Amino acid sequence: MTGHSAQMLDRLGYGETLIHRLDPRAKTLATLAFILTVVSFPKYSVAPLVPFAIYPLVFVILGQIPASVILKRTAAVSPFAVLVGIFNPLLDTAPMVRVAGVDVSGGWISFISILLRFTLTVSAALALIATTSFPRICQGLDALRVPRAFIVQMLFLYRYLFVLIEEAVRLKRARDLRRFGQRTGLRPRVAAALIGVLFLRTYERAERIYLAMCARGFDGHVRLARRLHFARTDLAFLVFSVAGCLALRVVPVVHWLGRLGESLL
Amino acid sequence: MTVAAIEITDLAYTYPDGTEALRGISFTVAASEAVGLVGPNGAGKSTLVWLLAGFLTPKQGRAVVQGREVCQANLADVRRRLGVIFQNPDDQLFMPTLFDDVAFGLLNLGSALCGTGILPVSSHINHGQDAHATVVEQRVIEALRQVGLESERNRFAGHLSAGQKRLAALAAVLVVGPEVLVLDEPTSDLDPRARRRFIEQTATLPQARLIASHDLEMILDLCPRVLLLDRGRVVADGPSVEVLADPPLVESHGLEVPYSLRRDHKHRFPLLGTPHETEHRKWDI
Repeated sequence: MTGHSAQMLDRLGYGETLIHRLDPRAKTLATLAFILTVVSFPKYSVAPLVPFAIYPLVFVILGQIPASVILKRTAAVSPFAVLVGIFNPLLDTAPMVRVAGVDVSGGWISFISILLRFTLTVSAALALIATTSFPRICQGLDALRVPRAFIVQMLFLYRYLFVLIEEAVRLKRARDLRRFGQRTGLRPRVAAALIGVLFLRTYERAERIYLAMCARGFDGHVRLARRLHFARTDLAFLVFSVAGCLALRVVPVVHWLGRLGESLL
Repeated sequence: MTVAAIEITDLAYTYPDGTEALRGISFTVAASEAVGLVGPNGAGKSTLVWLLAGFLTPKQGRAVVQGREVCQANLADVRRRLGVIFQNPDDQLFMPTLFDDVAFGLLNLGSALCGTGILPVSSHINHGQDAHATVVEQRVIEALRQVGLESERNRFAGHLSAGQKRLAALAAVLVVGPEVLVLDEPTSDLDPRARRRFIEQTATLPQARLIASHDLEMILDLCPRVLLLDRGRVVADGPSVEVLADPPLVESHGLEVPYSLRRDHKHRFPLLGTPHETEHRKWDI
């Protein structure tokens, strides 16, 4: 991820759509409920998870976010999910279902379930950031009485991520300039030196940023010009989202739709 | 009696690795006075700036800003009165939009600013959160207008030009109404036009200013008085046009007499103009 693409997601959070205007507490709690519901499904669940795609879709459509922004970033971190589930098909080989005449093992089903859950939860979190802005999320968490130390850590982690990316891009440019077109891989010694320099530069710059914040009165408390205002719309959104998640968790909607389809055919 | 903007008495600082950065520094900056702080690299200029802002604790001596000693107990009060412009504006502009960046100090120093003329007395208590937000917004827009960046309020500060970033950093500091400004290398990466604009902007400010810089022409433009620092000590303190026009003094401390002074004191610089005259003769042939 380049500095530019990281900043793009950040900038999207400052839109003025209906979704952007919702209180960050309502959006954060709704997203949390969504994530908890999605991960609460049994390991072989696939079809019941599909309707949950509505949640990030609503954010993308109403928040006027380019879907590619969410999809690209979800794909960028998907290797982690693949790594978690890749051994399931090897360890769980017992056939579970038959699709188009082919036996599909429990391992493959659970692997698909992991990928689906990962895609849903990550895209929901990204959609939240793209429609809220990270400082606003932190402000919401602060208002929800989440420990301040945790919020400050999150805020700094987020800010310094950009510092790290910027410094890494500078180092890469400096290295590319002195490679003179050679396409040889990064030698371990050079890689170690680059990582060391990156750490030192980032550390020093992060310290300067922190001092600049202290010089303007930063005391660990997140304060933004826009105040939080939990309106009826926010309450309605939260209730509707949580109720929707619970309903999809309890009611076998996909099963019913399948039965309906069968009866119609 | 008018309180001095900055009062430094016998200040000394040694870094944990044993490097002696400052020793026996004493000087005073009067209210509304603009003082230049010049010296070669490693002279201790930035260390002095950091001590004034309370980022470092002196080993000896004391620094006083507007009558308040720079120490842990007074830090919030000192930082409200002393605005620091960092060498690299990218370090100073860390919020996602310019508006949030400028509002940052105002929101964090909020309670300390109530009743000072910057924010009305307990506006957020008496008139509710929305009224407070409105006052903050008005102050931020006013500060941005002061530096000519009002139209950029919703832009990401990282995407501004170098000159705009400097002005944005200035707005972020001015919004809390400091009585003293400390500027560390404020023109180091500006093109001539942005530099000129920054100098003009800074010249109109009513605050006392301590400007650490290698840009001696800018010091001549802005500061009637200059402090020459070398190896952690003040080696000269006097009118800029005299101190900086003294070749043995400035050259023995790693600096050069600014071009404008060389031009104005031709008789003291026999070599002055040689390149131009040579060039002229060359074209004249």
